[in-house]
Amino acid sequence: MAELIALVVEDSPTMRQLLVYALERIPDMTTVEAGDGVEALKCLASNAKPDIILTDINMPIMDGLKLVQRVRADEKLRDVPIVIITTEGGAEDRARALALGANAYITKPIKAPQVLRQVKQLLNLG
Amino acid sequence: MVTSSAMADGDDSSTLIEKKREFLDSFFRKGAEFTRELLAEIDRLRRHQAVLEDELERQGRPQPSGSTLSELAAQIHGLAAERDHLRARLENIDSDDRKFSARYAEIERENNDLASLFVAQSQLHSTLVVSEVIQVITEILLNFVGASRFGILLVDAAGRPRVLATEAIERARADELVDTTSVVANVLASGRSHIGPLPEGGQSEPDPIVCFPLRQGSRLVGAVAVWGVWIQKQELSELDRRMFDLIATSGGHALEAARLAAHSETTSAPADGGPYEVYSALLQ
Repeated sequence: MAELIALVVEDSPTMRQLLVYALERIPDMTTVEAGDGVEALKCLASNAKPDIILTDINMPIMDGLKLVQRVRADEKLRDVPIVIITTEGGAEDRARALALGANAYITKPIKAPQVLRQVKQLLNLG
Repeated sequence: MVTSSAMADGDDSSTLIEKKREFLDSFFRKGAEFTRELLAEIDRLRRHQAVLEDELERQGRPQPSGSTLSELAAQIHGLAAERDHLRARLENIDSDDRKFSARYAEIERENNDLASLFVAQSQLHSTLVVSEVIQVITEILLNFVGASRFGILLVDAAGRPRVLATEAIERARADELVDTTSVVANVLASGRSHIGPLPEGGQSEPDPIVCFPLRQGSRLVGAVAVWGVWIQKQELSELDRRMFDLIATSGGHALEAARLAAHSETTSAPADGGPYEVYSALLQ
């Protein structure tokens, strides 16, 4: 099976580690980590095209909404599924992210099965 | 005038006719009898043919002998027993399958819980900076538990709980709540966690929904008081409780490790007083 790559964009190392742990339970999945939107764009420029992007909304320097916008504006990346991570109270941000082109969302507190389900669904992993 | 010879000739002719009639009657009577006999014979032969056909059919499908019947009955009995055995085995397999599925789900849940605890634990010990330890505790409560409004308290030199850091509540307000409720004092006195039911709307004042102690070994140095959880949170799970226990012990140790690291790196004398004064000074 071909290697799958997930880009995890999250400023909290704790959350990032939990997401990475959950994602790496998918066979052949490797993860690339970024602490904010700018770092994520650098990763996208220098690494192989990811199969999926998971991003928090509220981050310093460049937030998740701007990242979604930039990814969707990039011809090479516009088809990459994006999952945003929000709080239950962040309904407005969530709606905006989905309008900008995010494919799905996960609400905090994060549970590994929830992440796996959503990612597998978007990658058609059955 | 009719002569006698002529009369004799007339007698002969009538006798002949009579004889002819008798012959014809006899001929047709015998013909009818023959036809009746022929029909009877055909009927008999038809019946005989039917009998022979039956016999032929029987000979075509030979009837089993008594011993063959017993063998077949035994075979049927054996097959029925085997069927019942297989059916029972299938039911057992189904039951085992259900047990394995339940066990798998349980192990999967346990695995996820352990992963969350592992991540939380490793993050708590990933830094030797007090402010970062506080940040990690905050993130665990926010992102792993779903607590939305809480305070991290340490006891001061006088043994009173004082708020060191908060999330979504002013420190002054948190201090007021701590002074108002007896829950925090009880937790610090007993060392036992208070975990109440989740209130409607996920907010509670002045009593916290959850309050658990922070330990450094056997010493109680403070507590965490949670006054609010995210609205979507329906209940406190087993993992939440284990996470509270983890923060209570590992969080306390992480704070202590960060304090020792800070003091080993500085030439200035450590601050006097209780944990609150010491850690407040380190947060400056």
